[in-house]
Amino acid sequence: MKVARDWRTWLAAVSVYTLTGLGVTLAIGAGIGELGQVAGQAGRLTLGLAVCLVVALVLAARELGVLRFRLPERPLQTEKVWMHQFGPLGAATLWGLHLSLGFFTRINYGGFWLLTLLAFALGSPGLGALLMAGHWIGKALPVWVAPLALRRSADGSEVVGVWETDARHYRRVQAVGLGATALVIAVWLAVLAAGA
Amino acid sequence: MDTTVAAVGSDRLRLASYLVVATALVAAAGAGAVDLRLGLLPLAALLGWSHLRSI
Repeated sequence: MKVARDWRTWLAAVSVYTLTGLGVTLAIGAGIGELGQVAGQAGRLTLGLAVCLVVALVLAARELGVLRFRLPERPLQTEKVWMHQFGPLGAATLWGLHLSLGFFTRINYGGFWLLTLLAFALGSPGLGALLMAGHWIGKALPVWVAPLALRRSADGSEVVGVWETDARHYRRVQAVGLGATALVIAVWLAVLAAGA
Repeated sequence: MDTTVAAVGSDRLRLASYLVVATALVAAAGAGAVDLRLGLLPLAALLGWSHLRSI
């Protein structure tokens, strides 16, 4: 969290932040899956997975620096001023809403777009909801572990500073995630081909 | 930011990062063995992990 006064406030704020984002991402994922279902993606599963596989590999190459291109994003960040306007819990709720929407803030890594594409390509509201919620849980997890990992309070400047000094490491982590996702998709395609 | 604090914080977050990667990969392999769709879920969390910078 951007501001942590005491542990009870911190716990309540981080919980609200996580749960708000969870609700939003479940709804967004279900909506994207529903769109895929309406578009008939379930009947074109092999094609959809093949496109996702290519996208996963391209995005992994980007994170490794092999390819260079900008991801679609709105270069916005959350507002620190919400803390002063709405207090810790109100601000945590708004930060959770804003960041979990995903499409309205900075997107540093390609995994978000791969999961959005997968949620659509699989044409399943339930699976779409779980994929986007899973991404949110991973995105919220650093907020939970930051106080354990850092010596001072988990204020934004320290956490962001650490992240920026180690940016290459986190790009490689993202590449591992993208590569592993590509592997699962490839196995899925092989299973589909074997069953055809 | 104090450089010593930054180094310690960086090391600890990097260790947490390795734990997250290992846990996600093991969970994905286990869940994927049951159902490939379930194998994607731990990887979705792993793909979200690196986004702290936007917070």
